[in-house]
Amino acid sequence: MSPTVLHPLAQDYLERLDRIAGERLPRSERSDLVEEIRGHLAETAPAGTSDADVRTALDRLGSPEAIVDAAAPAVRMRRRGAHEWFAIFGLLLGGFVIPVLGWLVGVILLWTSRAWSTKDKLIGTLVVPGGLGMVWLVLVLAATVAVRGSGPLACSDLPKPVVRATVATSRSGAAHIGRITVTHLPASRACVSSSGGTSLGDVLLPIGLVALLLAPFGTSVYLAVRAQPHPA
Amino acid sequence: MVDASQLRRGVLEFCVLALLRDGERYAFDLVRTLGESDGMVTSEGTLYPLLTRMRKEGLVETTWRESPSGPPRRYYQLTPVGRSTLDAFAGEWARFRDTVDTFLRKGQP
Repeated sequence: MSPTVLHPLAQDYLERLDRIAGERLPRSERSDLVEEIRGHLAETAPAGTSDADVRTALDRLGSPEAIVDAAAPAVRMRRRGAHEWFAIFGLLLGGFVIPVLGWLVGVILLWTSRAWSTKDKLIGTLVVPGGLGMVWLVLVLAATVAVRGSGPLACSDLPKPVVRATVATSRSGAAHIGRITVTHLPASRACVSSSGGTSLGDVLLPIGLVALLLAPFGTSVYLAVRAQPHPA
Repeated sequence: MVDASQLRRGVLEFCVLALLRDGERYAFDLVRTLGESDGMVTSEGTLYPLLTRMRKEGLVETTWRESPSGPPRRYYQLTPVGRSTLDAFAGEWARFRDTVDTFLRKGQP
């Protein structure tokens, strides 16, 4: 049995329905719906029907959007399934389980999920790349630098020689070095103190590190809240 | 203009069950009958997702049959669950309708 050839307008309508249904419905629901509507159009708008009659038939059928809207709630929707939870877990802690690769798995799961918008996915990826594993690495590095910075080896105990030269100009215009002096500054002044200071950096650095530590947790909560209903 | 779409949506599936009480019907025939009933349906196409949902809920079942012209047709018929759901609704609806009528007449129960 060959399928009925539809009027071109009806065929266009059916293709539009198929496209919209493809964006919102799982494959089986989509083909089911399109076949039902094809059957309807085979009755009301086969090839050879007048344009006016086809328009009336399509009008009674309603817009493809409205039909897909009516079908969408029939589909089981979910906000967060195993896919989404593994994505959040991978982004936060994946870097600890398998360095770099674990986080990448989280990123892939994030971008393949239909629960999040592109904006959400960008935030999930960029705050913070590498997740807690990366934050941990940064904190360790910062701690190492801080320990070295406050250590006695940070500045030389030796007095720093300061060389001064004066340039004299002779009457003929030729320049020559007039006098060279070498003086020694006291050790305490040659060394830049890193303790006891209340410079801006000393305040901002810990705040920045704490923010860095909290950011991946914030992202996890954000992603869990922002997950949208999508077909399970 | 009173927007009775919510109310209509609520009772539509029972109307489908009622149309199938006396035997199976072709999907298009079912949709046309509802579409031509005054005030029941604004968009015939939205009935197909309803039929799909009712099939999944086990209220109706379908059979494909060859048609004298064109592609095979899908026929709908009641399941035992569909039939008992219809009977239960018919009783409930009568009570509901009487109560609403009483309110409308007196403004008091």
